[in-house]
Amino acid sequence: MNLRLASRMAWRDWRSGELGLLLAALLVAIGTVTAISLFVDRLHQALLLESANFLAADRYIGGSRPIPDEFRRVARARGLDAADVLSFPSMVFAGDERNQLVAVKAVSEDYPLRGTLITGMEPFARGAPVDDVPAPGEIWIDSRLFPSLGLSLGDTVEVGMASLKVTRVLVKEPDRGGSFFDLGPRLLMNLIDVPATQVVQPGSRIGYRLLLRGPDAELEALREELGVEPDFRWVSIRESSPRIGAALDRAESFLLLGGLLAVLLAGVAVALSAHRYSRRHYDHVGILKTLGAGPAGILYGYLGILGVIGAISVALGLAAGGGLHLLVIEALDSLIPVELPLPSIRPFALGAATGLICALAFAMPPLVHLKNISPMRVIRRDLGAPPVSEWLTYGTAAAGSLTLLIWYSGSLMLTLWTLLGALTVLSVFGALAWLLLRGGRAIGMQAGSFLRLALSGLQRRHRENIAQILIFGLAIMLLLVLVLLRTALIDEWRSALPEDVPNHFLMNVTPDQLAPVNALLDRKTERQGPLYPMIRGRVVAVNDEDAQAIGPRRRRVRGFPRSATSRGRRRCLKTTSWWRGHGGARTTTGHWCPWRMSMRGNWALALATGWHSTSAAGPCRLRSPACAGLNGKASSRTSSSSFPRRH
Amino acid sequence: MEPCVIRASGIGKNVPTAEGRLVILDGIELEINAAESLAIVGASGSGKTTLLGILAGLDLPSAGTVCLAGREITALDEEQRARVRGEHVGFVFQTFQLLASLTALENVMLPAELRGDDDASESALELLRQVGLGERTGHYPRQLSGGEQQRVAIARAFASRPTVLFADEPTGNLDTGTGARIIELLFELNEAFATTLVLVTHDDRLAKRCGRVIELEAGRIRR
Ligand SMILES: Nc1ncnc2c1ncn2[C@@H]1O[C@H](COP(=O)(O)OP(=O)(O)OP(=O)(O)O)[C@@H](O)[C@H]1O
Ligand SMILES: [Mg+2]
Repeated sequence: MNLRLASRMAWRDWRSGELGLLLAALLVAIGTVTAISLFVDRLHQALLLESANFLAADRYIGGSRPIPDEFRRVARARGLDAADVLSFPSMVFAGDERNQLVAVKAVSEDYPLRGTLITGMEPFARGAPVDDVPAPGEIWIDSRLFPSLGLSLGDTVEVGMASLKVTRVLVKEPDRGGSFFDLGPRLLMNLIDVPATQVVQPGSRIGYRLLLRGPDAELEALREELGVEPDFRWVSIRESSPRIGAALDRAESFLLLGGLLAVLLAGVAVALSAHRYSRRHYDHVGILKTLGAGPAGILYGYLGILGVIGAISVALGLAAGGGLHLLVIEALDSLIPVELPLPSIRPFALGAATGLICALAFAMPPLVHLKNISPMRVIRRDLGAPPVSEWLTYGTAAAGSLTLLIWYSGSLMLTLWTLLGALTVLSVFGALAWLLLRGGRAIGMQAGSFLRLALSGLQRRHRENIAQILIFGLAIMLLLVLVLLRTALIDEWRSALPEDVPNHFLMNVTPDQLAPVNALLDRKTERQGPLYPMIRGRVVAVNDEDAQAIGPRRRRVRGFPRSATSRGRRRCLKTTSWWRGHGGARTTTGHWCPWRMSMRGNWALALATGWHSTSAAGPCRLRSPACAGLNGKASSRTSSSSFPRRH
Repeated sequence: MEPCVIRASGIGKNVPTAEGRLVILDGIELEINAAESLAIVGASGSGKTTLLGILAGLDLPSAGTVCLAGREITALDEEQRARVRGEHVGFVFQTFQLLASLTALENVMLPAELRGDDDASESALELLRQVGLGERTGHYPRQLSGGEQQRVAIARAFASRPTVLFADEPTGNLDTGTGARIIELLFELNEAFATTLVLVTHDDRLAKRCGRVIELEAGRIRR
């Protein structure tokens, strides 16, 4: 049998509706997988891109020392794009009496590697994207610096020892970040001008970043090669913003699981319809054999039909998947705040491969079996078909599912758990179905003749019936799991945030504003806790253990604050009394203590008390009575408060 | 063409059953010449269908050899036997055995298509006209009466220009009148194509039309 005859036979079978079910099953398999993976792929890309915008790069190397040239050289050698960012707080002076502390960011020409700078020509107006950076001698500044320094465009300000001209209003830069200390008004300047400011001196607080952009594989290879830890930090979106990272992971695994279940279901559907198709063709094959078709011809013929159907369903399935995913996007439009990038080729490859594997693993065994049908069947109707090789059927089905699942999930564990769950359900349903059919026989004995007939019909084909019950059971189970998981995931996302978690923050309250602001807040809001000062510190030792040494364990000790301003801050600090001086701290001699001094001594003691006193409540979870040494400086003399979320 | 188209010697067939070996055929010796017509008769269960299947190479005997058109088919593998069937054998069955998803024309074209012939439809059409169904070529089997279906089956059987035509109770499912017309048609075409005819029947009229009749009894030839 040649391909032409196979396609002719496929066409005739299709015409008589016999191939419809198989085609539909394959189509559903390919369409679903394509649609889901298209959606996941685009969402994934969008989230990555979005988060890359957040870093202004794909990865960066950060540290408090200058980035060695070596790093830049190696990155370039790997074909990666790199850009330099220097950030430091500095006072800027406009004229003689106006000055303001700003967060300076000095950038090289290529900045930003991801995302865009938005600037305007007028303070407090909407800006437009630009793709350059301030020219040497020029700076772009935040809108609010214009009134506070009494500036207008074209004026000159002093940053350190350099005089720089304000040429634009900086509306937004991608890596502005959520760190509290970056929230001072921003000043963007060219890296070339930094030496002239003479700000970079031993002891000055400067953050160095080498932004990187390029393919994931190269980036990871670079990370291996450089070994930047412990002097520098290697930062990807997952490290820089664990919340987004975790949400990304969860969303992905959920969609992935959905995809897995879709694959299993589709496989089952394909197997079912192929078996049905094959059973209906026993007589066909018998007749073809009497007409001179040999087993090989039958085999190639039906594989040819499968090939034709496979090719058609891949073509249609990919198109249907594409359409379906557009519908999904349409339906979820309000939930997806980002522009989705074009899909990669992978979802289509995945869809096509799913079709191929489904066809091979689930549909082929029953069709291969057709070649064993005896031509004697035509003249001796009582001659049944030889039994289908169970080894072949279940073996290929298992191998096919496994291949698909592993490839699709990229995770052996997830795959094994999914399969284990499916097997458990199958055995439970199997036992139930068997009992039901047996029980049915007992009932049938006493039942009326009509019911007895029906029941005996069920029993006569009990193997088939049990199989069908199993398959429907599995299908229902898979759908239920999906629904359950979806609800559970949403609940988990919701409950990840405490009921009254603040969602508004008031910052930069100066000491003389404290009393009126406090009064205002008490009157108008349900805020919890007092205002507290914002300081920046670094834990240098815990229980006399060097903080550097316990660094790697930091992730494990959840809630362990890397700096005094990180998570758990509010509860950690609110019961302490160490800022009774209202945003300032007075030394034992009663002097105003400038934040720039070393904070060992009193400070360390006070912080330790604070943590210790709340460790029982849990948020900080320092397990033993903790004593932390603190070494740091405050960047501004301000306080802040937070408000509970309103529901 | 050598005179002897089918030579069967020492044919035995037995199958294992729960009560031990069941002997269906035992020591069958048979020679059938070219263009001869032979009827196999006998009581129900005497082994007629089994013998027909073995002679046509659909089934293998437990003992003995069968030569068909000069090939010893009992020594061939399934693939080779299928080829011999395709080249030399045509079938007509009691239950017609048309492919339900194919039109009358497509059913008749099937043997040629399986051989790989390109212009199958011309001769198939001609054959359908010969059996009087030239107007029904596009109809599916379910749209045809039993007699019409059997006529399509006969056209298909002759479409492969067989050396031997095997028929298992070709009129068994038809009323007397229709059966008679089918018999006429069968012999007409048999004459026209100079085909050897081997048929199993309970129908005396049909048996009488054949040149030779053998009667099976409990797996042996009685006469
Ligand atoms: N594969 C088999 N397994 C068991 N028994 C068989 C097998 N093939 C044939 N028989 C038995 O052999 C006997 C002969 O069968 P066969 O079909 O050849 O009879 P027949 O002469 O054609 O009968 P009928 O006139 O009713 O068609 C029957 O009793 C049948 O049940
Ligand atoms: Mg019979």
